Amino acid sequence: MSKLGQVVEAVENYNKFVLNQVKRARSDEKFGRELFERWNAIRAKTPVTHTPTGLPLPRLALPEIDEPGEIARYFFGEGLPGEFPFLNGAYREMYLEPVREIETGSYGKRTSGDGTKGKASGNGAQPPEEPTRLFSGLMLAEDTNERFHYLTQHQRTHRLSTAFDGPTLYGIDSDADGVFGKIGEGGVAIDTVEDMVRLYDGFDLGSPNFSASMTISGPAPIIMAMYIAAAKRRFGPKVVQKLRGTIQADIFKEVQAQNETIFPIEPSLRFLTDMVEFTTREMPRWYPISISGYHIGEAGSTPVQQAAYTLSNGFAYAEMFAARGIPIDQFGPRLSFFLDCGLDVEYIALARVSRRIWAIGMRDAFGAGPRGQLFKLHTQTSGRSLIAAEFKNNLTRTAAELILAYINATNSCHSNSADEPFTTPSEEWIRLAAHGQAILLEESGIFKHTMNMLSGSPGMKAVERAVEVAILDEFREIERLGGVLAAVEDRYQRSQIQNAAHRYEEQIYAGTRPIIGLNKYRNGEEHAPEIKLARTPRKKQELQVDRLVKFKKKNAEKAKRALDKLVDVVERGENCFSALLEAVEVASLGQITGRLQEVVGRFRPMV
Amino acid sequence: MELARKLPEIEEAAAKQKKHRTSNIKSARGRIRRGEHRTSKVIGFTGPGGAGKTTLIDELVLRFLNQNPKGRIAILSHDPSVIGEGALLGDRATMINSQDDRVFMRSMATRGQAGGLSPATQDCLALLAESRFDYVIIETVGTGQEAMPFQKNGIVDLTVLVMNPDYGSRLQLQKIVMLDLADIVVVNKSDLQRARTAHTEIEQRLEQNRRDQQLIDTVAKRHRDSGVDELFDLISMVGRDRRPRQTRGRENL
Amino acid sequence: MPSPIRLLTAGPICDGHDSAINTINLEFIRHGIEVIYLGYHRSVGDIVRAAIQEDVRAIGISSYNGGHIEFFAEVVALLRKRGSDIKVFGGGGGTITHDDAAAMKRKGVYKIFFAGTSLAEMTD
Repeated sequence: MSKLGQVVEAVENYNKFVLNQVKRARSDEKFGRELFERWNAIRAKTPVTHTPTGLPLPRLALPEIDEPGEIARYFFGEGLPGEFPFLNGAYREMYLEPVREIETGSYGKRTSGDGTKGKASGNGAQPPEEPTRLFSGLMLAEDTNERFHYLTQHQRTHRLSTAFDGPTLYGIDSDADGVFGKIGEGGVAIDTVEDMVRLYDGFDLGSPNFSASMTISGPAPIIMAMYIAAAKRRFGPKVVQKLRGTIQADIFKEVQAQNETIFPIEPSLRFLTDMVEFTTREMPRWYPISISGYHIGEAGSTPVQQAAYTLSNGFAYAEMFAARGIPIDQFGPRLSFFLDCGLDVEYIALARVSRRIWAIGMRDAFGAGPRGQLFKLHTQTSGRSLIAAEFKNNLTRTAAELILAYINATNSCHSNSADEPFTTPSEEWIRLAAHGQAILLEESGIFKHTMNMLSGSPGMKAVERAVEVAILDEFREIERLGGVLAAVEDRYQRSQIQNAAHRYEEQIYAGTRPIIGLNKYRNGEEHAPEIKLARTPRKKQELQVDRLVKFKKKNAEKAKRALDKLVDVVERGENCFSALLEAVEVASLGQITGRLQEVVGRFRPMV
Repeated sequence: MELARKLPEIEEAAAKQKKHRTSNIKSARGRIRRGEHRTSKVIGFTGPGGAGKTTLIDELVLRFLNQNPKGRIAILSHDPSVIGEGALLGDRATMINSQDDRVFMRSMATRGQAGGLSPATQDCLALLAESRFDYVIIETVGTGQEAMPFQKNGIVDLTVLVMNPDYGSRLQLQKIVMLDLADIVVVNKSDLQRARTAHTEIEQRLEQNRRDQQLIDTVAKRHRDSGVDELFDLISMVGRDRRPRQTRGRENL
Repeated sequence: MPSPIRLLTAGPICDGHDSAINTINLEFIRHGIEVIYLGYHRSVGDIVRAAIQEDVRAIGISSYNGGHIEFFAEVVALLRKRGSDIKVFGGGGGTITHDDAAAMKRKGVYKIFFAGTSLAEMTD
């Protein structure tokens, strides 16, 4: 049985354990009393806060139960926020504003030390970290840099997320044949370490208030090396251990859905593991992989498939890293996840259930400690759910999706812009997307007063149960196929996703899946949207090619030596990350990818 | 370009079951039979679906192109389809090395014909074999004799049967007629656990045949696989004046 | 029985979005068309070479990552250079605007399908 089979067993055993604890609480008087007392103590200690209109609320809302069996069911089956199995949240407090006291008057009367009229972010003591992390990337490094500064001007913590252009995602240089028109389209063009320096210019990369997320998987180890090299150039070698952020690097997801794999699967996994081995040792604040379901969902999978494949990919990575000899409590806490959030009802519980399954699997099948059990999640509202027709409706869609994401206590969140179906979003719509989050988290009272808002509703529990059962069924199927890697090579996940995508299209066509503005309540006229679409000007594309050519010319000799050295390390089967760090100083992305492909081959697409 | 245009003419003709084919083709067929004007070595690949034929062929093409800077290859690949219906011909998507100016590839749908070939294949083959390619590769899906009928006509110089080690029990091997006819049998995906047993069972079968057959293990998905290298070397040795194949009565099965 | 129509479909270079094209392929096949699918991340040269070798009636390109005006234009130009009259059509969800499509038509693209086009329309 592979690890995935052990995970299924672990979850089933844990559920039985919970039932036993319930029985025990009812039959063993001492145990029952202990639970009851603990419950009451928590209740008593829970601070009370007040809404702006003076209504008192507990910071932590708990079910109104006093029977030891039910208390046991809650403690062990769900866990308080921040406690195993983490159904209700990875941390004790999330999204909450500081406790409000009522200073004068009582409920209904105006109070004095109340909020300010200034911008939300300037409102007195801040919550520990804003969850907002907005995804952006366009044209050349300096253009994206400008956008980064614009997006974070009012933020105390700078959380950046970078989108890369097509050639970069595929490890191809901007001066390669036939890619000219793609330079800077859909993301930023990065060819060299010099571009990387420009990209993050003006940001303090080593500061605890800064973190960078890079959405790239195929050539991730190379881009990671470039980031480190760029940081060192500006701040010296000591900055490396302070670097915060994440790089996506998820190969399984690429093969299953995104289609941006460069090398064959095994070498890709090997380079990934080399990078993880390096970062978990040298960069304790960096997340070297973002195990992603977003693209799986966006490629058309059902929500359950997204969660199931993401989790099983995660367990497969854990198995792989453990096999390399990296201690589980060294890499466990460094794994993070990325899911989408759409409008299907499964999303009301999808991340919650995933977090619980991950915790149980990691603890009981892998032996991970508490930090390694945490399912740290970044959510992005679903791009697929947004449509071009009457696109302003997308604002509503995204707002609904944000609510679902917050109900699931996501650790960070990106909200799509309404103009997403057209191109890389424009400033106006990005601003609205960012405001969407602020309106829900800071302006509205839904999430800022009390933990467990909406947890435990009968509907939610029904969805949780159904989703968990379905996810475990998928695990069993993958296990039957021989595990994640075997299933991937067998095209299992890929074909499931394609089938689901096809079914989705058929449902839209048949009208059984209403999409307002598309197949229901269609507006007869087709308005061309009056949005200014961001396109990369030719001059900029030429500039990028120009400086790339100059870089290559300047470093020709050194590049050859560095690449030879890299190839040598790879052929000897050693960890190649250090050699990569040297190579990126003098060679471009395309040069490195090209040489490596000569040694390990190119990825063979799966249809 | 003209080659590309002629092939559909052949397909059209086959579809309409025209009795009179263009004289070009007729005489080409005749010449092939007589062994004249043949510029290419014709290699047939067959085997059950999922054995990895496409990957294997693409890996061979890679070696060929690297080692023969001026060489040219033609590939005729077949995908099953039902007569009157469409088909997804997706071999090109995975054959990354074959997308090259020195490779001419044609994807053919079988259009209801049994045995994994299109009605037009034979004539297309005849034409290609005269068109100055170093190799013409014909790829079909199947394990029965009908999957490679050209051996009798002498058009195909070498047949390669690509096997998946997961064929089931030894009894299943009995049903695979091509095991008796193929010149080379390849056990692909030989990194799988089952491959050791598969190799042994197939080896025993070939020994019973007492023909001049070769057995090679490959892992086609592996870059620079030594098994594929071995297969490539073997194929490169196919000469015009090969030893006459010893046929046996099994052809009438 | 008349021979089936042959089409080639592909995704442009640096574009891995194949969800739409997979669905469209199936729809074409259902209508009796033989679809030679070249896959995603394909260069202009690969697409044109394949289309000519396979002697298809038309090429369908699904582009979601931008740069489509240039890409489609290059495909058309290369086809013409090789003396081929194969038509080029395509789509890109909402990423290809009506203005873009007009520009592409001027450069010789036969038809662009926009977001929300039904599958049936495309096969016609």
